[in-house]
Amino acid sequence: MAVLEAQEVTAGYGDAVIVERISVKVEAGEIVAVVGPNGSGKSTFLKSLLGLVRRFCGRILFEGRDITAFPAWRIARAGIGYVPQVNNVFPNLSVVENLQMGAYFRQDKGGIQADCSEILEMFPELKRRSRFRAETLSGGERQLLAIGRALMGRPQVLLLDEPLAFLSPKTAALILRQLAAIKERGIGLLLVEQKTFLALEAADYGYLLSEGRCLMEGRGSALLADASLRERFLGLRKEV
Amino acid sequence: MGEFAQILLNAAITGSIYLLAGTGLTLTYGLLRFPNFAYAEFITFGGYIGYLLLQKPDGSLPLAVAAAFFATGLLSLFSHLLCFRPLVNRRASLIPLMVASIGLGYIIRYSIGEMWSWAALSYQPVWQAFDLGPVRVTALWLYLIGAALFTGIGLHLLLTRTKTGKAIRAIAGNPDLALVSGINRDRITFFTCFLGAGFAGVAGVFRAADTQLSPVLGWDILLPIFAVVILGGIGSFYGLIMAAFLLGLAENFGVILLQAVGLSTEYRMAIAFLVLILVLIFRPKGLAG
Repeated sequence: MAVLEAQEVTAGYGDAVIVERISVKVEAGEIVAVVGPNGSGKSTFLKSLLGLVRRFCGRILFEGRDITAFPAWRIARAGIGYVPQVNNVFPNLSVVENLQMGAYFRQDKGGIQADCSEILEMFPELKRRSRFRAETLSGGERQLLAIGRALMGRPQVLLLDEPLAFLSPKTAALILRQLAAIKERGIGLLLVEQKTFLALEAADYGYLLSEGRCLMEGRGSALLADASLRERFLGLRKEV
Repeated sequence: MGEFAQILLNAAITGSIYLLAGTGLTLTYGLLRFPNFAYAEFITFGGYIGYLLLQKPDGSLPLAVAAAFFATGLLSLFSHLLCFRPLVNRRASLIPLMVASIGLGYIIRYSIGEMWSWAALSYQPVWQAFDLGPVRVTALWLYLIGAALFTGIGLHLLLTRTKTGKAIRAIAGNPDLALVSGINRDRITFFTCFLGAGFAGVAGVFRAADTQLSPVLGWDILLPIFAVVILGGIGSFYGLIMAAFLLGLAENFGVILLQAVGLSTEYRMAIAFLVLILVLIFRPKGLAG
């Protein structure tokens, strides 16, 4: 059974439909990438899974359970972590407090503390600045903190909105390594990304969105090899 | 020397009232992003609840303070549930929310006037002044300063040491991220509405005990309270503490200055705004900004 499954989700803002009938599956310990050009509705789709935008129809299943009607805070508590693209930290809270907020709904004090230390070990960049307010961090450090914060909730699946955007190639590579490590822990990852090549290279499975619809899906490597995709969306040039 | 110490004490008294009254305003602004003008009436309401217990000479001030805290907190919770929350859920912007709060304030103020009285009332216990070192004080003022200290320290501990307090700061810093981190925003907002207005109710008891009780008790000091909240950097609790006592100092030194140049002390309100304007010219986001 898939950890997270979106069935024919149609969503948007107000009365405007942005994405139509999108179905996506994420298994445990698998990286799934949703790629597509700017404005294809990738982020809106991701937010629709979290109850942050209006859903017109479709169902969302988490470990087989229907969570479509859950408010956003209950979706998080069910086991779905989310790393937004921008505004992804609590700027006025320290690094450690940011991590604590990720575990807000957990009751096991000892476990929270252990996870907090583990994440700081995992991201030495953050450990050095653990008492600083998050607003003093660089973009890459914020991205790491956002991932760390999401992991503190011990999610079964992690949703990431363009985790590689605005990052230097070096930092992007670091983030990709971390995502691979998270996958090894059996957590499912769903990432929406505009850096198509990087995302599909890292992904087990991919979906291509254009103008709010799913044009193509398949194994990451298969999508990368697809001639029409390369021509229409990647311009045949490998982007880094 | 004695006169200088007395001015400092008076500044602490004025500042304590501003701190108690402004705390809720700044905390709820952080969560709901609109200035809640009904805080004027929360202060007044607290004053009248205090009157229920302090209209006889043997009334207990601590009991009146506790009653005003809980009753005003509940009033604020009801007004949030019935008035502001439905508007917030419909994504009302700042102006409709602010106007709604002014309207709600009118309703509360006129209800108080009709139910109790439009005439000014006085609390019965009269606080005798006595010498304490170089200054003259009343026990009421000492209680007031104690209450402000308790509020300041207590809220500092709440905001930095407890999960709920950190969640209040988290929502103020990034409300959507709080939601997707599993923080039940509604519950934290209810708590903050109750707590903040509770302190405003306490401010009302002290203000009424120190002056007189009337349906415009809170309205009369709302503007300097807003000045303090803005001066502190709206939404910032630590800025508020600083600003409350800064304005208390400015007003009480200003009164001396006004007397020295032969002007009426009625102008003391203008001093608050002079300070506000000067600070905002140099620090547009307030002291903490």
